[in-house]
Amino acid sequence: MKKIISMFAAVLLFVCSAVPAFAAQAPGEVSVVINSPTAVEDKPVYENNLDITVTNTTDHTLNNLVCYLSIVDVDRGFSYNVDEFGPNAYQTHSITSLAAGESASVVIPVKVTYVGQFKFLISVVNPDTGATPTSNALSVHMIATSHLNNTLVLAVSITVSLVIIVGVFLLMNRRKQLGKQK
Amino acid sequence: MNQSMVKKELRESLYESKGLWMIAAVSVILTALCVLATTIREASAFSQTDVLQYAIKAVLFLTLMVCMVLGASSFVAEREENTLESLLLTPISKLQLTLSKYVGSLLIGFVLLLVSVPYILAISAGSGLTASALFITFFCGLLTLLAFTGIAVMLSVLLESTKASILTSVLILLVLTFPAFLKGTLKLSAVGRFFLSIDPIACCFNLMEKMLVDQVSVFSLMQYVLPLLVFAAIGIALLVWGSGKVSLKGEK
Repeated sequence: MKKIISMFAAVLLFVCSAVPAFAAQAPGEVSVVINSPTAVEDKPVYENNLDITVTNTTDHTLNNLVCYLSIVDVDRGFSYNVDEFGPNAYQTHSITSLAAGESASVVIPVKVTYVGQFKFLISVVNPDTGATPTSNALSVHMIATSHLNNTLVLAVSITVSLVIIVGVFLLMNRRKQLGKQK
Repeated sequence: MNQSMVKKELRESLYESKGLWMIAAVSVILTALCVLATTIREASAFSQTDVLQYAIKAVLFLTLMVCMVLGASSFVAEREENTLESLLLTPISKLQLTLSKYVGSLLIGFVLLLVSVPYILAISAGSGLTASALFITFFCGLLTLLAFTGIAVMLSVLLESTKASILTSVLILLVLTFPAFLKGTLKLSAVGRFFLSIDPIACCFNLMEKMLVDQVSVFSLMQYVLPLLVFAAIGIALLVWGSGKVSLKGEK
């Protein structure tokens, strides 16, 4: 009986001390919404500003929130380094202080030069708690204006290098023969 | 400039200095890059404009490397083979001799730019950017060739061994190429912005991006053209200055 009670006490103690740690990692401290654009279907090069609203859904002030953009290439299974999209994009955007219930606007400029299907996501990191809520995914479809003609490129490149190599061989042989004749 | 000297230098660059094989090697490298661009999955993320930019960068870099090696070995090779004395005894002035060697190396570079034309035509087919791509290749290619080859020939006059001359030339090319590959916040710093505004290779890359991606006219991009012209003038000035230093120094 004593062992059972002491075990229950130990579990209760563990749960009580663990609650703040788990609660600190719970999502939903902040809500992140990409207001505009709502979807993108365009051709490269596409330049626009992402208008984001970050709302503090807790009952206390949050400080030093850090906003950043991440990009997922749906078709190819990659995620991209954001400094491909302009000199401002690789910098995080900070919100120094956000009171309970208040919202802040963040603007992130993007310049898309790749083609394909992408999802743009905005995440907000709270360095104190480690919580990282993420926005709704913005669907971005970049349509190629023209396509690389792979067959033509392969055919031309292989032909040119073969012609040059054969030409070099013939020239060198001719020169050797001329040298021997002299 | 003495035409027979230029023909002699061209013949030597093509045959003795393995210029022909360098041209073949460059075409093989460009073919390998085209094969990679058309077959690997990662390259499918690039638009046609991106592939075209990479192709032009490869052409410029390979052409400059070959011409710098040829230019850097022009005088030191003569000195090491003990043929410089006989050249200096001819009635040709030192300036004419230097310019002949310079033009001999430049012509190889021009041939390499011509070799790149079919590749650029194939990559840019259907994009409407063929004229811009060819303009950038030849404009940036010729200006940087004039500058870097001039510096390489000047180094071959001043230095006493082929190894030192070629290594110094390649090092100068690498140092001047480095700022063009600055990434991230380095680009935004005052030092980064200064180097990017004067570095000839960075100016080539920026000019390329503006003309191919943003489709801006070259006449609106004088901030990138002027550093190239100044650098070409500096290279030629160094060449002319170095021509006065041609001597038998180092010969036994």
